[in-house]
Amino acid sequence: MITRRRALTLASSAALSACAPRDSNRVTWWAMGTTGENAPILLPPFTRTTGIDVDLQAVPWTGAHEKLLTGFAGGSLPDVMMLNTGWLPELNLLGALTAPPPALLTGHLPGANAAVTIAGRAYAVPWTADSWVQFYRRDLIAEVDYPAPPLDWAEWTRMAQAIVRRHPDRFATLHLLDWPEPLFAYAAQTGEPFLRDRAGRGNFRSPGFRAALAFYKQVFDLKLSPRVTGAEAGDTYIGLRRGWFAILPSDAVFLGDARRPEHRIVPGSWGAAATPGPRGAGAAMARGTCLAVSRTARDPAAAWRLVAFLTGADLQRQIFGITGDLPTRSRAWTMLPPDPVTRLFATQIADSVAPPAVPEWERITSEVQQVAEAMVRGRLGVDAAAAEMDARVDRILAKRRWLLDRGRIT
Amino acid sequence: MAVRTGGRIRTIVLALLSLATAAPLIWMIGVSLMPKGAASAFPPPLWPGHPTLANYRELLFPHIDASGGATSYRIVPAIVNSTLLATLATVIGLGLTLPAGYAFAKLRFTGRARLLQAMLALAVIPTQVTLLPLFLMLKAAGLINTYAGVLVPGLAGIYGVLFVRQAALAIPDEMLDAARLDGASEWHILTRIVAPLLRPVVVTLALFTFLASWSDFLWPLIAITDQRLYTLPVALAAISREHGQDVELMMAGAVVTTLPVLILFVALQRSYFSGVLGGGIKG
Amino acid sequence: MTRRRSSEARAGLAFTIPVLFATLAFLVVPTVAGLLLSLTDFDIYALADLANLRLVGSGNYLALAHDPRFWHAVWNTLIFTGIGVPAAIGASLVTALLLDSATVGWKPVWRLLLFAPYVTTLVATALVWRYVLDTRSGLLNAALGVVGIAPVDWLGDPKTSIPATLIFIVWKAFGYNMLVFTAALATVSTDLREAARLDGAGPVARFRHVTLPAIGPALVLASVLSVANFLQVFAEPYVMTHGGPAQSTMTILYFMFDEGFTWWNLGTASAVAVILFVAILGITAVQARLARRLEWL
Repeated sequence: MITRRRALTLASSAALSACAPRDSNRVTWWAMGTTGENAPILLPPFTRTTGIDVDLQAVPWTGAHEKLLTGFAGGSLPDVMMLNTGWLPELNLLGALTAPPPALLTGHLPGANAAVTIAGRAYAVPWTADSWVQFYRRDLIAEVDYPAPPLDWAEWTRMAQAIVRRHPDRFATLHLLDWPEPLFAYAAQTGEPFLRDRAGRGNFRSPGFRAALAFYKQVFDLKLSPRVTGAEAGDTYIGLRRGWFAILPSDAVFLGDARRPEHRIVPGSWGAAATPGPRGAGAAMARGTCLAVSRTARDPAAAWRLVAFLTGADLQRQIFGITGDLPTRSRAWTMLPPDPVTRLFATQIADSVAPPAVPEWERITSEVQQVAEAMVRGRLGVDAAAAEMDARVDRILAKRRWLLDRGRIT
Repeated sequence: MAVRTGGRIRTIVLALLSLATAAPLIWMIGVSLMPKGAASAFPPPLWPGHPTLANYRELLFPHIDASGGATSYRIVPAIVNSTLLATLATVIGLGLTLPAGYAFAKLRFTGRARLLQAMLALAVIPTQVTLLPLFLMLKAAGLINTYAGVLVPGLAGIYGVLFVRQAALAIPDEMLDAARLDGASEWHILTRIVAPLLRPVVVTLALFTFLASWSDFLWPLIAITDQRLYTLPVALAAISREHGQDVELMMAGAVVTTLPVLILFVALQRSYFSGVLGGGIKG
Repeated sequence: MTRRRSSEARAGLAFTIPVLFATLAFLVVPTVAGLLLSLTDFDIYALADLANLRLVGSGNYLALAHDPRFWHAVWNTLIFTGIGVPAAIGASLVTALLLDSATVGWKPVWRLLLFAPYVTTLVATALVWRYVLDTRSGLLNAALGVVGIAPVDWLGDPKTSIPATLIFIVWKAFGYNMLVFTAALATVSTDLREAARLDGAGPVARFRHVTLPAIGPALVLASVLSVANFLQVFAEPYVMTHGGPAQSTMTILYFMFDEGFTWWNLGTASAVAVILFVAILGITAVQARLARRLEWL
């Protein structure tokens, strides 16, 4: 009778050890957001010419960072990863990445390579360049007699108040409370560094950041933006189309999304302007993505072939056509339509501030935004919020300071 | 007379409560059959004017998306994964807890009382507390991102053991001793006498284990990174992050995730209720 | 006879060893490991290189004691438990009493409908409720509108997010205890009830002296388990609100999950887990003692 039990155990252990099939000639790839959702269109020519199958997994941006860390912790990272360039320091610290062949790093925009370089070595290949601008409905801005949204805070506020006065049931802009981007875009305009003491402490009580924080708070205090999170706001494009708000701060993803039939945003009905600053527009936060190959890749050569294919100029131009993601290769920029919007992005990308290269940056932005949300909901004043941000960030960076003091990291 | 009107009022109150409880589930089915955008109207429609299966088609089969490429939500593989995992969890779980529960109730062996006390004491440990170290242990064993890794935390089935033991206590010893006198092995007694006697309990426990595994979300979310191994809840949560605005599609996903277990439960409700209500032993 | 005894003893061990092994490996060892982890600062730097791991003793616990986010999560969890347990037990008890009255018709139908949410899949029904609670086009606000109540921003307002999440949790969970109470009520003999009625005891007195003693033990067990469950609320806010708005649905277990599996501060997260474990243990012990004093166990 034991034999039957043993048979059962054997059968179940056979079933248990079955895991994902691992065949050669297959490269696994995680790609994020809209780019990841649309990437299948790009792949057939690659598979045809190389014979390499790509197993693509589209990951939503909202869960991408934790998925990458969990993948590293569980030893299950894919061969190729699309990364937010700001996450490179973290994955590099973990030793999760391999250095790309130098040939893939030529011909990119100045600055794109700098963004993927840590301590003199590149750890990924730049893939898309991006920035943060305000997209606006031409008609709603014209209604209050402005040709475009002004670029300094005071004048911008006057325009926004005029919009809200005209339509008391509507808003001038949409700053989602769970998005750190709007606040950090304003803060980047002030030119103040976000961290101090060798990036071992927060610098959020600096006059520059506090000014940005005060402006951000005012946007909500004057009811220029609704107090909503992404989950509640629903489809932001529908909101823009219906005129629920006049200005949508966003990155280049808007360019691809606005073209989609389901959003029905009339071409020519919108324009783009730089993020306003305290005294006119200043530098923007650098944004963009890169492609990296993980140290655990089974066939690094095949993985780099995929990266080489995806980062080519022609393909970057094709991606811009599908998703609005802007290229990093100078040659691809020459193929873009010379319209004011791409010109705006080009100027912004050329003049951007890189986020601090510390592994904790993702967490820092998320905690700072939590405090900013509490401030906007009226629980804290500007100074108390800035102090709370520094306190939290100092706590997050405690381990980094300890390692810095011992010379373990530089 | 007063009794009858009282009864009628109570029946009506119960009927209203039951309807209110079932309303979200009925609405879920209704919305899943509505054309795109129909559910966002105000006031919300309660039932589709022109029912359509379009959401299910989009959910279950590859379709052409806005940018012209064919995409699939990979729900069908997730259904297969969930079914397989829940079945494995149920078979392995019962294989572990049924003999143990019976042994703790009826077999005399050294250390029984002390082991049982230890099991009772361990019952207060919330499983969530073990997840962090368990992840590191399974990583060391190379079991992250495998079915085995998903199944492991459920194997410490203390509640199952105590549940079976409680029911098995009612089995008369004479019956077992008579069988032993006839020369039956302990394994034979367990499979041929005890298991049939405990049928309601076995069905209840099986259904419980199946449901728990089918609905488990937190652990598979962490233990699986490869979407080919996603279970239904994890796949559904992933889709909802990207397509949360598409109410009709999400409700179709909710129906596909929930309906199988609801049907299973309705089919087995009699055994299940008698098991939960301590019917214990088949008369 | 002895041979039979020894074969019985052998079978007893053979039948129990697999479960004991699984329990040891997947419950006891991780629990002890969690306790040890909570004394270190295991984090992303330690994941990269174990040389970066420090023994910090009670450091994690002290840091948590000074962390307003943790206290916020504790406070939220207490609100969840304080409102949730009475609401859930109350709903179970009321429906069980209704189902128990002899004069009600169609009982199996009501029992099935009331119990159905319990077996549904949490992620799926959380999605359903997200739309039921939607401010603009949700079923609940539409129903309230019929009665003339203005729409409520259920999940968007930090003041209503916990009650809104609780409506969902109670809806999903009350069916189980309803069944348990029904079983307990079935043990009250009709003769006893009749006798009490003929003695002229009113409904309140009958409930106090006849019904309550009968379901007392079930009530105690249900409240012990409910408290333990509500202290471990996590999946519902995770799926419905992501802990928002403004961290208002961030619970202790959510905090642990966030520290552990989002940011990989396993030291801090393990300390949270240990605190939660001790809290559940303590509260359960207090409840058991109270119940014993009331002679219900």
